[in-house]
Amino acid sequence: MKRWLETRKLARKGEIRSVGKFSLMVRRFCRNKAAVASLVFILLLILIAVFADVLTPYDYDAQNLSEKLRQPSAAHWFGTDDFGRDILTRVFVGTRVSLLVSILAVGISTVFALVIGSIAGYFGGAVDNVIMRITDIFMALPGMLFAMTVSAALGTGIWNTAIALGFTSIAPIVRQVRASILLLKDQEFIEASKAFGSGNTVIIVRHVIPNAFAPLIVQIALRLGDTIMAISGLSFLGLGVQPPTPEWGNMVSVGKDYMSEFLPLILFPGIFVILTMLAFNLLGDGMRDAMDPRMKR
Amino acid sequence: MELLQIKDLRIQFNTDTGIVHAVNGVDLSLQEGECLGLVGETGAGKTTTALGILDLIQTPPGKIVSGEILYKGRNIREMKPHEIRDLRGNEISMIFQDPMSALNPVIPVGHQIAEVIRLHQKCSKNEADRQMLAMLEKVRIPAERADEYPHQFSGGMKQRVVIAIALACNPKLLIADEPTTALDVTIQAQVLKMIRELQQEIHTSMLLITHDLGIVAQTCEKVAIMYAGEIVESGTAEDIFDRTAHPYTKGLFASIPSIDRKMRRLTPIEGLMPDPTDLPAGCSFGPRCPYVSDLCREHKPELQEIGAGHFCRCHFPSQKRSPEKEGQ
Amino acid sequence: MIRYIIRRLFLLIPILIGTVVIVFTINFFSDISPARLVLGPTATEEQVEAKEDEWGLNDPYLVQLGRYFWRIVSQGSLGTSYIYNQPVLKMIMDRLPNTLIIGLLAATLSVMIGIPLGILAAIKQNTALDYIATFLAILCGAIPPFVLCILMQLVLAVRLHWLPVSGIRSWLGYIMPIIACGVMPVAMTCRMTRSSMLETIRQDYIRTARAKGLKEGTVIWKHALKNALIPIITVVGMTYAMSLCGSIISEAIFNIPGLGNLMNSSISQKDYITNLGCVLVAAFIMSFVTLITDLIYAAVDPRIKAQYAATGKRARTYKRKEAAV
Repeated sequence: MKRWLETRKLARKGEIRSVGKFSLMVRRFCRNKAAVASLVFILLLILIAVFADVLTPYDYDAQNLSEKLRQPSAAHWFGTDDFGRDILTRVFVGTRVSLLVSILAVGISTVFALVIGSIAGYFGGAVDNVIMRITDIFMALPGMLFAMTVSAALGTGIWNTAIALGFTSIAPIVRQVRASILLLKDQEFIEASKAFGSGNTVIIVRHVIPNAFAPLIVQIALRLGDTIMAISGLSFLGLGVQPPTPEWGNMVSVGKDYMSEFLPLILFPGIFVILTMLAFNLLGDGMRDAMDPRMKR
Repeated sequence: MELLQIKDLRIQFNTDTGIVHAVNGVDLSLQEGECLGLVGETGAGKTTTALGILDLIQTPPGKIVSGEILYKGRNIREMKPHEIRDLRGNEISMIFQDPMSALNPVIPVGHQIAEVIRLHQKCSKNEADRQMLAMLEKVRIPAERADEYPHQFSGGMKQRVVIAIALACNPKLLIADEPTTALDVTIQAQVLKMIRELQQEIHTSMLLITHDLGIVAQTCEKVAIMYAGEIVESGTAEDIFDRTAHPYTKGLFASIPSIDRKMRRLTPIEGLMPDPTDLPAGCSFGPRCPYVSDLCREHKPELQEIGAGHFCRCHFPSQKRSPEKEGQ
Repeated sequence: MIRYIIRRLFLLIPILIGTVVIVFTINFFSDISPARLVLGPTATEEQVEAKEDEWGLNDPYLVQLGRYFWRIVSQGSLGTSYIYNQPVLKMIMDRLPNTLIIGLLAATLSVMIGIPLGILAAIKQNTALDYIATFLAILCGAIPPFVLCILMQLVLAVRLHWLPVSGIRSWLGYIMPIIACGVMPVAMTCRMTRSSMLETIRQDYIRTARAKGLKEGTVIWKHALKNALIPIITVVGMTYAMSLCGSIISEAIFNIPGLGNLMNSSISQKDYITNLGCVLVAAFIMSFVTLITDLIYAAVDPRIKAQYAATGKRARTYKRKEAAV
């Protein structure tokens, strides 16, 4: 009803040609304050990640043992850690590490999943069957356990963690891509568009991309958040990204040993993980609601 | 005495795009045993009016803003929730437009019928089941299918189950909201005939909502034509069919094929219904009316009685219209 | 129906075989030898070589893989741990109950708290209660298990001394791990229940139920809930898998002898054979939970039941479509 009204209104104003599905989505998204705030927060995080080195006067790896485990002060806003390193700087650099690994991992899984899922969806038949059975097996593996195994086999570090997390999350995206493609294969609007004589490019640009990729983008946003959580979890356990490279999870892991007397090392990285997760989740939800207004409350 | 009388009913919906004026001052009345056809295009506010009678408007976003709904002289809007619940399904019941979604998919159909009987007749489970089976019989569904689920039924059969639910407690008033629209043409007549027969059998008054004037001609004694949330013309079936007064009603007749009248082509009504969030200041049919004048654009016409019991909402009902314009 | 269950149980076999092949292959190409770790840095190359030969680690890939499968089929054994020198299956079985109890109770928590809270939020949509429940659910869904574990440990154990810091010597020790594994599932279940309930309340058949004159409570509990449950069941099944994963971290922090802890130590000590056993058992549990989820579907929704009863193939395509949506 609401969608119908919206479209009608636009049709009346003669705007329907210029206002596609995509800009309707953007409009709906912008009405969701939590999602917009999350997007702003994530952009801020990206800025922090990029300029982590110049935002504070300290080096993330500069030890100063005489200044270790200091509470937050004017000089060290978040205090200092067990080697006297500035926690604020390390949290900022940790932001860079988390975002970088997470983007790499999601990038890896998305690229592979796009290729594999498209092949399965497009060719169908035996190819599809084999790919989907293999996907079933990967889906049966408990994510964290599998990620730990791969991560242990590959070794630690930024690249290896990204590969491990990327590799282990290919399967669910393959399913999604394949489902989108199958759905699109026999959609009436594609038929209609063909019947109107639209060329392949028009069909792909106007219909396939917005319809197949919109759900994929939501998936990517949600997955970025999940991956950040997984990275910090792995790093906390001593896999993933290891000291001296700062990462939220491994900072909390160190902080755990001092928890009865010194809080900042747990608190600040912890808050950053929670806020980042929150932002990605809200962003993903906002995008999904924008695409599927039925689900909106 | 009137069984149902609606006075100046106004219903609005609050949406992101603005306030939707769905029903704008509807007046209707229905005598006992009578059948009233409510006719209009999709989006004219027919279903909203019907849901308003049963107080089933989703709030929010919907809201009955003003007006009275008198059932046997009592205003439903002033009743307590439990009093309204006692009416629903018991004295006033409704047949919905889409039988595919009107039945609960995870509850056997027999139980869905027996439920309403147990609720209102306060009888034992066995008695309710007995009545349920009798009701199934009436709508010509074999009793052994009572334990099956809606997905095992065809569209026509589902609608018959919905009819059985609606008539299970012998209601005084039956609201049938486009009961045949979602069905195959071949079974539309069959279902309609069943509704009509059962209605006469239990002496129920009926409010039949439809956009099909053919169905109205077959079934109803009285007709009300609805446009953009208003009644634009109402009266007896003869008034509407033989002494058509409102240009919109005329337009409706001109856009349906007829065997009697020799016509080369059908004349559709030009344009679209006005945006319900942004209704015109004057006559709401003005923008589409072939006879529109400045008076129409500026002043909203009132519903006026142009014959005994024949009402029309037009500054120039066809009797008063000049003959040369009539010919167009 | 029975035929469907048997068919599904047979389908477990290729999934478990696949799991072994994948994890075995990954571990095979890891370049750190467990023999070196067991014997220590002082051992000579020859000693390491001899140990590796004893464990058959120098055989070709297919021989090792074949031997692993043969051991399962002929002796029902998952091999012997390199580090602890104990049968892997026995080690797992000793620890599994702890993990299962925690996971089961966490999943129960998500049913007992998440579903009622979600229903309440949906019925009272756009009220303060709805906003608070939704906000809490979103917040709880964003707290990583390790942060939650440590915060709880700090507040409830170290500062307030209400609960033991670690270990499960008394039942009190289970409380924090259960909460840690349960918070995210509760949050997810709550949100899913809310949106599924809202979707259901909007359906025509709910309007039919109201038009019958039923009380709002009957409409919600009898007519809406059963329909809304279908997507919720999936989430509860998923939360069980989640709490299984969450247990790795909580077991490490609270020092609980469970599957997660064994997994964790087997990874850090390159005890590949134990690691493989753990993943295999976990995959089995997850597949089993999925099967149970599917059976509950059939119990709730007669349409799905009819499809299961019809042909296996159609049921599978239907389910996949569901999953895609």
